[in-house]
Amino acid sequence: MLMEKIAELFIILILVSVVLNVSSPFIKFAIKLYSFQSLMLALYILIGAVHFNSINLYGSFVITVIFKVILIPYFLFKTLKRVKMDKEIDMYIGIPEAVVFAGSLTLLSNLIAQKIVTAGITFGAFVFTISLATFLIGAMLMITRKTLFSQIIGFLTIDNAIFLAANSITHGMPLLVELGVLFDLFVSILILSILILNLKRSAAA
Amino acid sequence: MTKILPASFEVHINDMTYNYNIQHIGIGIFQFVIIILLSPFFAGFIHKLKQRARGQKGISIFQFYINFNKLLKKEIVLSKDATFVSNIAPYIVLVSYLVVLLMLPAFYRYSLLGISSDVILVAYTFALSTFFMTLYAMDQGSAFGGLGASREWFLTVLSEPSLIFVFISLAIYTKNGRITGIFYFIQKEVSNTFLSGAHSNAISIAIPFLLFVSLFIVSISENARIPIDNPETHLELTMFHEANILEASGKHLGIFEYGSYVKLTVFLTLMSLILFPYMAVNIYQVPSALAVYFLKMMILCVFIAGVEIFNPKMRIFRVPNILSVAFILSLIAMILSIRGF
Amino acid sequence: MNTKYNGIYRYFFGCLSILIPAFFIALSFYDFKQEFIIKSALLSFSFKFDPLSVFFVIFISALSVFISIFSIKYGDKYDKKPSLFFYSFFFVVSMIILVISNDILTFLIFWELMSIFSFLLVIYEGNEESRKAGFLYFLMTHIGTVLITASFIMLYLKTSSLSFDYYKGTAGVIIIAIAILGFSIKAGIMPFHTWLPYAHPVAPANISAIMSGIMVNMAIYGILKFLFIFSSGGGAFLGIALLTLGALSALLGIMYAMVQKDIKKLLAFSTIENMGIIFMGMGVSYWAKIENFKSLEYLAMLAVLLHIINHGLSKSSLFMGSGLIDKYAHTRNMERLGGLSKKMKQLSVLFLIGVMSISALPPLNGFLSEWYLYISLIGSVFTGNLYMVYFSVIAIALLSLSGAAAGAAFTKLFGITFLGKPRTVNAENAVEPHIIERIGLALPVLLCVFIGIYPYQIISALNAVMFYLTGGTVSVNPLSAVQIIHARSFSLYAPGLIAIAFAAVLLILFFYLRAFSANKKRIFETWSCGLDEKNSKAQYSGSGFSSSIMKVFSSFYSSVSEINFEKDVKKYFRLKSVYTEEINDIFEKYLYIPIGKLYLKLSDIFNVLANSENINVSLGYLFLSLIVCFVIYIFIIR
Repeated sequence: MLMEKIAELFIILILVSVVLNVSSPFIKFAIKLYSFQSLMLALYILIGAVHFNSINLYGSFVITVIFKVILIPYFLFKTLKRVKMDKEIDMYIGIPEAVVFAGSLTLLSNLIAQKIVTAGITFGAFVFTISLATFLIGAMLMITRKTLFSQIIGFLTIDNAIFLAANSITHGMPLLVELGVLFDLFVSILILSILILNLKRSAAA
Repeated sequence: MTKILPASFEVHINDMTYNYNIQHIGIGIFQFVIIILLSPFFAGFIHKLKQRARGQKGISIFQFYINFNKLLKKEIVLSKDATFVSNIAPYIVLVSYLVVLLMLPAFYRYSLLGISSDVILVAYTFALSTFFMTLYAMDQGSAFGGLGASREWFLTVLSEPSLIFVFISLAIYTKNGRITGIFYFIQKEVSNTFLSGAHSNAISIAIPFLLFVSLFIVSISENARIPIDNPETHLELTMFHEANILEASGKHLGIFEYGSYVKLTVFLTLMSLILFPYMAVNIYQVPSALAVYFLKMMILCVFIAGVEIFNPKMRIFRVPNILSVAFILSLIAMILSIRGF
Repeated sequence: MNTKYNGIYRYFFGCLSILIPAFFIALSFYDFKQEFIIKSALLSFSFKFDPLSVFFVIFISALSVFISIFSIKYGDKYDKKPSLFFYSFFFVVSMIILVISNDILTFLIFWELMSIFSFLLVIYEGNEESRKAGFLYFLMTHIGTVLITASFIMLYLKTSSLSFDYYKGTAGVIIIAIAILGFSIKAGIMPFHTWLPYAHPVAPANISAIMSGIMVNMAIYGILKFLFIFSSGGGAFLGIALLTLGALSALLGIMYAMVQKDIKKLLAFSTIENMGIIFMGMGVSYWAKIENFKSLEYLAMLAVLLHIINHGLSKSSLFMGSGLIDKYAHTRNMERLGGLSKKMKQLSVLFLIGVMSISALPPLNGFLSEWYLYISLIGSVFTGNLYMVYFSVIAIALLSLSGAAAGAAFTKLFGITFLGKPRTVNAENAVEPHIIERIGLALPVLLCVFIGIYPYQIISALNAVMFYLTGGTVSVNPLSAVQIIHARSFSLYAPGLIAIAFAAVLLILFFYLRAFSANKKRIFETWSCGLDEKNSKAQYSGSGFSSSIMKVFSSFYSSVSEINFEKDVKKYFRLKSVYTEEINDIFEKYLYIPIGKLYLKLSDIFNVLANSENINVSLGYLFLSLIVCFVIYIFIIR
């Protein structure tokens, strides 16, 4: 019972970190928030692992911590340092409007979740609501912001949302699949970083 | 053909008839008086912590009592342009905070005005105080007064919806409309769950957490603390709250200052109640509840001082960003609380 | 006309408009179920006193008595053209007869008379501005009348009777929707509000008080009649639509009010806000009626009825106050006023209470009705209906935002107008209004305070109306404000207790300070950084006050501002710079003006087509229209 409530707190913190991300115009903070968000996801998986005593979930926890909490933010920070883009991001809509829009997306995803709630999800509609909201807000981040970094962060957020939804439905995917997905993600971040560096260089030239 | 009402709609306050006996009134008055007496202490404690952290020696913790006493002895200098508003506004500002304080069950469950401690009433009573404070600011015809009034309402327009949302989320979460009822419900359910291990669906960790964060942001903005305003500054470009009372002097200034301490204490008390509600229900529990209350308030003071030390002041048009986050956090809390129905 | 008789004329109509409402009050107290029919050769009018119409008769009569007392003295401004009193008398009487009429024809005739007399009053001043506003008002109100007539005709076709007695439970969803559309034009609900901020300010102040305090409520009367008496049940979405429309106009109305410079325009936009609040209440109540949440229905209905009274009282008193400011300080522009409180001390106290009441501050009546609305919105969250939960959460958000914004708007109104230094000579030379004018203003203000502190009487009186409309009542006791019979109440607000607590704490504080503090006072000049003390331009202006809020909510406005400097002068030595700001209504800009343009374009095309010299073409058009009429008759009406 208590476990469930703590897991709920972790899931909520995932959503809170995305909302904070929308509210802040700084890239450094966004990367830190992504790391925090992944940590919360990992802890949620850990609670699931303890609850179901599943080795798959333990593995998933370790992989998430290594890749998402440490490696990807590290590379992003490194790229950020190289391209020296640590200033406020330009956006198409103002921050308060974006935050309120994020809130209405949460309301909307709760409505959708109420409509299509299916059996077998660990927490019922709740996790689905949060993951859907995180997904939508991540997409909004990608749409409304003008820097490539923000698009990367939005993409990673969407990935986390899908990961959360998958984990809550399936009690843990096969480790191989998870490893593959994470590796794909990692490689794509590397490619994007190289891309940013090259863009920067060609713009400077 | 009346449809049966859903069970949740039938839920009501079990102490609809709020019996006032001599014990409740006595401890209620004691609670009211002791919080009034303590409130400059909390403000002074935060001030001291901040100064120590900056490496200054700092004023005494009890300095604000001395200030208040001194201000009462001084003469009032009123502007030529001042009207009746200047003479009544300080009193109404302080009294509206005190009336809110009368409703709060800080450490004793049956607060003096607990029968009518509706959440919306509390939020609108704060609006009453803002209304009179800004009128006071505009009364003297000084340029700073208008500036302060404008900025104060700018903040209030942004933070009042969050405050109301926090309160309504609490009301929906506990299915209870009175502040006394809300926190007693949480206390009861928490003790049921954690002490006796009973299976309870009624409580959650995430909702109080979100509401606490939201209320924290709101109270920083309402109480003119650092990331949003600086209570110590008198530089016109950065003033919010201070610009309103710039023309006040003597007794009036004293009342305004005391009002700001009481307001800070009210918000800290609300936060402490969300954080960990522990209220005495009879006279024997009062000492321990008072001690716990004091401890919680100390922790929150440290917390506020920490936020003030580690943050720079924001630009005014960045304030909506953080207040909109507070609003959305309380909205998420409300979504979580309605998911049960 | 001989000016010697003008005074007599004024007093005569002033007294008459006191006596006639008094007569109607007496009549309505005489017997609730009184019915009478006046038959003549051509027309027959039928009237009936039911609790709803008695409520409105008393409401209209009482308010118009206050306004008449006010006008006895205030009206001497208009002695040159005394038709004002003639029109206003018939305006009030037509409204009173409107609410007791009991068949379609009577209703529509007096609805139209009300519109025409108010139109004549809007164009009374006769300048360009009022003619423009009058035209817009005439146009919009007749679009509304067309829709209302259409819905009545549909009702007639359904029941084949003209009398309202036969309509109980017959109106379907479409009929109600059309009627609501028509009535909401009169109420000034947000997409249809464009006439209101033009028409209310240009009329004389006592007429604005009638229009804003009373006339817009006639639309509420019509909607209540359709929703709660004529409705056949069904269409819960109508309730949600009303809630959404109401929440939208509550927020946008007050947001626009905040940025106005003209006092009366600010008040007119605030009327839109309050109509929005009433619409929200009606929406919740109707939704609850359809979904069978009885206690919720009663609670929201109480919010609606109370808010009608509260808004009427405070808004009419504020409009009267704005008229007095106009009369004695010769301008309605806030930027030219200031410091009136020193010159008009009693007026400023009364105005302050009115402002507090309308911005819903606790011990007064405005808070009471807003509180009932909040509680009913929370109640509709508790019902757990999939859609209503979300809509009421959004409505709570918008309502709380508009509540805070109302505080800001009315602080601006009172602070800029009454406090500080006088900004112009006119403001400096203002004098205290005449005693009769102050009395006319004081009566509704005192009622505001009374209802706010001791609402027991008024709520128990409203129970009769509630029972007629919804079939249930709200139990009250003298101390507390809410206790619902059917489902237990959700919370409790005891206005009297709160007022007592306020008074007690205030007294204790006062005596404490009296005993322990120095009682010395010194009057001195305001510190202004060592600059010129006499300069009243250094104060914050009204547009400065609201600019920071306007900047945050910039997406609600479409504003254009520019600063013009004198040329050839160095940056820091300019003597003069001109700031112009134009704030447009987004609906006007993006909805009405494009429609107007489209209409003009289409008319141009038709003009070219129709103005042909050839007689054969004209005959051809005639023939074509005949064919079209036949087609419509055969395929649509048959």
